[in-house]
Amino acid sequence: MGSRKPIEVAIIGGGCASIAAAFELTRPGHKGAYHVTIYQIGWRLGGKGASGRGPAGRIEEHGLHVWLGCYDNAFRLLRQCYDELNARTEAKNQGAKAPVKKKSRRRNWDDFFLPDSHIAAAGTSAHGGWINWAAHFPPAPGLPGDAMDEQNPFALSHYLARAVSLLRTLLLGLETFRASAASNVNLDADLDADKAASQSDPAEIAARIAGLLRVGALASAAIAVEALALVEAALKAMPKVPEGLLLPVLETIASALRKQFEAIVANDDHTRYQWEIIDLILANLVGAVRYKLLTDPRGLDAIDHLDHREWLRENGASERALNSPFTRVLYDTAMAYEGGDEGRPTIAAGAAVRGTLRFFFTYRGALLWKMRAGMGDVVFAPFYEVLRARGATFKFFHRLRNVRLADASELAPGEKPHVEALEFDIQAETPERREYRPLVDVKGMPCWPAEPDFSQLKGGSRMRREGWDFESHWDRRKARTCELKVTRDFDFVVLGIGIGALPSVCGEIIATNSRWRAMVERVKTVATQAFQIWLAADLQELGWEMPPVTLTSFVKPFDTWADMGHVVPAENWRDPQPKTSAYFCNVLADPPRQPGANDLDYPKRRREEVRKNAIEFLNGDIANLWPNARTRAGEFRWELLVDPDAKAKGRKRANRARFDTQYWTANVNPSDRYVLSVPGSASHRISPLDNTYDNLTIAGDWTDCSLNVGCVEAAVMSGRLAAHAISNFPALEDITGFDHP
Amino acid sequence: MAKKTTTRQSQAKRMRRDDPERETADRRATHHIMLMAKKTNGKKTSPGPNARVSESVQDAISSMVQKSSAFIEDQIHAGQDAAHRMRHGMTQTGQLNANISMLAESLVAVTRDIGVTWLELISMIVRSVDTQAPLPGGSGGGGIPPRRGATVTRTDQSGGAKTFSSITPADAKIRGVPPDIMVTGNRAKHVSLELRPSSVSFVPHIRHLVATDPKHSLTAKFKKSSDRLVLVVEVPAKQHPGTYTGAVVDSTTNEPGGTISVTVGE
Repeated sequence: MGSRKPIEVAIIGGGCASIAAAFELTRPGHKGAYHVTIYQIGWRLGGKGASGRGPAGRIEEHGLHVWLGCYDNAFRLLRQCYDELNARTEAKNQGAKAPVKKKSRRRNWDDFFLPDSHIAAAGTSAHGGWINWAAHFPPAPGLPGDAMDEQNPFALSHYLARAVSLLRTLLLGLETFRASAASNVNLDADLDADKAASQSDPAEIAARIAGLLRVGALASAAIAVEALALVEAALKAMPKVPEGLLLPVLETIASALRKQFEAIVANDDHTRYQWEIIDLILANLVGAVRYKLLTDPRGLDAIDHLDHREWLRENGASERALNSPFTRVLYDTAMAYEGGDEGRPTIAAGAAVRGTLRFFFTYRGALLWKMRAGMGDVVFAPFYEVLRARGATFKFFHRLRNVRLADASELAPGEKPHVEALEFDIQAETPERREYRPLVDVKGMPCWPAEPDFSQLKGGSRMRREGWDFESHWDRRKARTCELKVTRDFDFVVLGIGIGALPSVCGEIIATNSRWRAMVERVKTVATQAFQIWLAADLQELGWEMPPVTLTSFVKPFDTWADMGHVVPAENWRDPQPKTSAYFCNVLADPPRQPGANDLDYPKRRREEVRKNAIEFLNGDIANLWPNARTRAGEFRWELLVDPDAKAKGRKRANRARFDTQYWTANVNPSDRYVLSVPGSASHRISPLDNTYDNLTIAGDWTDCSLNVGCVEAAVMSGRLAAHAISNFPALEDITGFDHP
Repeated sequence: MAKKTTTRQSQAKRMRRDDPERETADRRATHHIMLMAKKTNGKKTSPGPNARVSESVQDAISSMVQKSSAFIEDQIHAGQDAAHRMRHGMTQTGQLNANISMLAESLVAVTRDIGVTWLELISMIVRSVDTQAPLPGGSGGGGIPPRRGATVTRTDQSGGAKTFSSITPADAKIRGVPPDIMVTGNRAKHVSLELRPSSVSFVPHIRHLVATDPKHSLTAKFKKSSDRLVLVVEVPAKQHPGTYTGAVVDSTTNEPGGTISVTVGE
């Protein structure tokens, strides 16, 4: 660091966006130009991605966290974090005096992520009951976070060409199609569409198509497939397509295919599911062309005012496809239920299509990457260590109470409004203001505990006895207050808390700025619920016949399940060791009346609600997934649940009370609520680049960060944008996907 | 770890963020071309906040520029292939044939447009190579391309064809004089030349002009006549009718520098 004082950046919140901003601003390349202080409520980093180690070192999450293979920004930063961590570790080991008793070991990011190529959806069978549909997505070249290759995947025409290619593959794989077409056409000779599409001799292609056209009416679907090959070729060749001319071609293809298959597939579950996917792809293609998305300068934002399902319906999707698991998957994974009400599914079409395209067409390595430990352990602990080594300061137990603006009447001519002060409640302090050490060791891995280390806190015993809940929005107990002032304590502010918390801390801004007011009103959030169970039986014993999967579109109140048996070895179980663990999550409906500011028991009441939901779910619907988990009397086999304290506390009986030894959560804190992408809301998001307040930037998946859906990647993108707003780095072009259509 | 001192309070002046260059994503369809140019930048991730444009980056950009010419040609040929297949393969379906011919012609036209966009973006990047990347924490600084020269156009007639010649220099310092166009024969209906030279040493060269059906091609070349550059387009009497398009490249660097299209009538 040179002789100049560093620029002081106060980062409020310790979730993905805040940590990404801190990581960017403290890069060694900045040569210490910025010093960041992260102000964190409670005892742990992570925001909605925080996790803690509970009894038996078990991992307790806010919900299910699975990283997608298309999270390029998130993976890139995490990989850089691990590289730096290892470089520092090696330097430390080399500098240690010999003999070294215990050297720190190297940690690689891919040691902590399990590539998962399976996804599953649950749907109703034509013959009654549930049927599970699973798909394997083959590994894609590269690893998430690698530099993008030369063929930029974010051109809409490129996406659509791949969608057409997928469509042809699905059609040719459709048994009904193959059966009907084979009786009329020699498939090997005439329907080798891939060969036709890659054929370099146009005359030969023309001859093939001409041959197909002569076959007759029954082969019209075959002709449509061949026409799709040409559409694909045209899209691949053309970054910019005359959409108005393509529309009648696509509509004709869609019409021919629907006429051909709609009636045939109704009673065959397997074929019906395949057809539903085809139907949805067709509607997306027709919609993309009909709405001129390929050339609209707004990209997919042009349809963001519409609900995704409505948009698909408008573009020809059948009701069956619209109600299929494949449509529900999107709504379920995006928690897209306004107010947590399953009767109000809603997601903006543009955000939905963008997310879907990125998910399926731009993943690298595997479609999904599951963490092998808690998200706090795999992500936030390494970032904490690296940031701390870089000189960042962490202030735990700091709850932001108010963002105060400078008096408008005292601004100099031309001076912009700005943050004058940040007012905090300090929830707890350490003796002699020692640094709070937040991590614990579980099997050699630095982890976040599920509760604070009260022994480090002044009056900690009393706080524990009185049940202080540092993360509860409604528990306002504190040790003291403090005020940070501009120029004295900070130069810039990154506001990285959840949007749900803004009304309580940014009252002045919201009262005086209509854009902020519109943003907090229009960008909706939803509470979520989750539970985790540790099981004494493996999946096969439970009766699940498919691979370990992440399954969604199941029943409410828990529509999403992920097998997480792979994290059990990272926990610290003694006897008995669980054979697997299962995480479930879903939205949680808002109560008719919002709780008052002093309703201390509100989180507890909601947790009790989740507990009841989980017990009811295990006693009922889980049998559709795990038929062997049910007793003859039809109840859940509670003895399957592994009690971490069974031996120590001499508990033997297994009834529904055994569930109380498991883990569940109601994420009702305003900042913990999941961010929705409701139609018409994207335009009300404010960008981290916005400079209305010239010493304040915002960060979070609720900002206008381009991706605009609630997820880790959007949060990281937003954090990088916030860093750019302050330091001009990283370049906007280096924020992968920022300029996505 | 950095520590604040009390002297900071008395010395400090409130810091302000500069207004950003832009606040929102660029979602335009053609924007991906610029991204693509970035991604060919040596297979590297971000060089780090304090990195400057290094020789390796320059090499990568040079390589990218070399590829760009092929890119345009590929775009044109791919579009022509697609158009050809659609026109010849699908006109027999009553349901689909209505727009196919128009679609085919449009594909060709659009490839030409895309080529122009690409050239503009490439030239921006090339012009930025010699400048320094912005430093972190600074107020921007280097990396800003020089001001582009104004577009100068000329319309005329030659050999019965309407001719349109334009030049948009990458740098205002380059003198922009659109070449004359000379057409032989009387079959050409329209000739359009758009040049975007990136340096004063730019010497234009045309490799191919091909029709929607790549079996048909046409010759065009540049000649020097006194102090002017002349594009000579030779259209034989038996030339197949259609629109012929191609890229103009710098004869020494192979760097793309323009597009040309010739419409031949019956």
